[in-house]
Amino acid sequence: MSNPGTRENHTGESLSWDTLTWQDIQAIGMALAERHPGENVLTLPPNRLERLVEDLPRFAPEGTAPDEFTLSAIVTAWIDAEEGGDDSSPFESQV
Amino acid sequence: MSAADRSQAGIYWQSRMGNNADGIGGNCHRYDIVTSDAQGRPARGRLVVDYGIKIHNGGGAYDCSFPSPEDLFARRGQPNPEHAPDALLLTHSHEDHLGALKHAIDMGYRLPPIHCTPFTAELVKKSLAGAGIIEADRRPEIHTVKPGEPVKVGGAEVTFVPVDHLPGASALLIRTPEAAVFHTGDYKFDATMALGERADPELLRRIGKQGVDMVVSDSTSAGEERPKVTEREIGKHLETIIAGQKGRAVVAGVLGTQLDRVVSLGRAAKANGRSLVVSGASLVQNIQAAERAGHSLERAIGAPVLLAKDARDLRADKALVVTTGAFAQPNAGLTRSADHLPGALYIGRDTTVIIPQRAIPPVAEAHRGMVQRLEATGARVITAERAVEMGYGAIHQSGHAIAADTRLLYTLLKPRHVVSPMHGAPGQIEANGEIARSLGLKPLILRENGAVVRVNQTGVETLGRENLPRIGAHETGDLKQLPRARPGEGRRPRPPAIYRYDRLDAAGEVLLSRNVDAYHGPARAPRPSRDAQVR
Repeated sequence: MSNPGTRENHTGESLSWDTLTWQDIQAIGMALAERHPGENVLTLPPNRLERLVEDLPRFAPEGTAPDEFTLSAIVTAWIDAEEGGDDSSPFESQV
Repeated sequence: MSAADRSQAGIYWQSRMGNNADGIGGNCHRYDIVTSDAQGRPARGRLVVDYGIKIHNGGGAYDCSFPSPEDLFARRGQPNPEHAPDALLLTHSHEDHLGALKHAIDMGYRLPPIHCTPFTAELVKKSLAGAGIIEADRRPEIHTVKPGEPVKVGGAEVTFVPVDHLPGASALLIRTPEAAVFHTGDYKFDATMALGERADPELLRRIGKQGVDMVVSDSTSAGEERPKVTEREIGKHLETIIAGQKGRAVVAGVLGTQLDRVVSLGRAAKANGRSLVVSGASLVQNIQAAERAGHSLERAIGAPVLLAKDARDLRADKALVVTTGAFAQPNAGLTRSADHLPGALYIGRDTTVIIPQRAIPPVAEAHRGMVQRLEATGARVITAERAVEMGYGAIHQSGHAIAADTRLLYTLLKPRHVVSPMHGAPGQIEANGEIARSLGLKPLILRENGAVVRVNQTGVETLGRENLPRIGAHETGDLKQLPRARPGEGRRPRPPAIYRYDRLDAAGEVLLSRNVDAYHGPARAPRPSRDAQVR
């Protein structure tokens, strides 16, 4: 059983809960919102996003580059953190 | 009824849901492609077009329903069954066309490769990420297509034909040696929309000349015999409204997916010396997705699009703030302001609120209440309905083909055999069929989902109807524990919901209750009630 203060990465290696990996999408989104309030998420190039994540103090790269889906999900989480979460209507398609 | 015989060469079309006797939504179609090779041996392919949800409103047992994935897709971790499709083609990014993807994945199904335009692809990623589906082995392959360029898939040549609805919206031309079907998706004609590719009458005329056997056609607004209002006209009306608000703050409430309306507002702001400021998660996310897909709002407007955090020093009368809330949905910008929630945009007696979107019946009551609360702050509120009464003109237009558009499409395509109206209530479908008749075309009106229609060189024949189950989905109140998320993190924004799935028959009656293939991943404590969240 794993230590409640730790978790495992994809290779079974023990990581602190404070450590971020590419799968911690919501936590990365919130960390980016806190750390880079001046950044324009509308026009952020993917390579800059990747660099900003890797520069987060708690980030531990796992050796695999993030795919486009992961980067897209991180931006979505970042915007959610800045703008306060889902505000869509389930009826938007009926217009 | 037993499965229809799909052995002869041809294209077999079946509406799984969305050919709506019971309301709009849950759009999904199956196309079986049967061809013969040079030696006369049969070759088979299968395409699924769209996989959306139908929203249930009014306190029923389910939040939404959608076509059952059980005989539509393969289960994850199992070999491909005979019925697994070669591809899932998405016409556009509205939830009634792609909102069921996340549910099928949570139910344990493996989606086939998705083919769609770049903006739709971005919204698929957003939808799946929003549902906590981030693991690579649960996600589908996504192939982005270039509008107008044919791709070979499932034994057919498929062309995504641009239509005017929202960025990246496409009709599908499905062509084989035996037949050609034009599936409109949601469409209209408005050459003045700014984002994405425009519907091209010349391209449609060429497609018609090459031969189209059947048109499967959007009926949503086909019964509306009225003059068309273009997005450019809407923009001019908005410009006039804003010109009359000198010295006042102006806030516009839209839906997050209405990006062309945001462009119109941005142009109206620019013409009045105001800067466009956007606020609200779904709106900002969709603008960002549009940027990634190559549809730049800044380029379309000719001025910067500012985020609220970058506009704090801007004078209120020099800005046009566009936020969410046209449907008075919880957590949207206008709703939060009306309810004086912490962090909400200030709206008061020196503010004009514009809502350039008509309230539809399911949201009418909430909308009325929100407008009253906004007016109670002293704000001036100009809704889409009031703008016409006040003499400004229309500031909203349906995203679907009205009667004139429908006539134009059929005139350009000249289908050889039939038009089959779908995507509409019975009256709308009848109206669409009547337009076909008036042009000398034969309408094929299917009253229920499940009919199998064969199209080949001999014509079009309805072979019979198969009973198709659907799934009723209800939020359990539990939330997904996202993979490896730190305990306590993810409280803002809310983690994705866990659903209970029941199998329903085509009429919506329960066949099997409770957790048909439900999500069994890690969960966390139930969230507070909705009332507690909103208030």
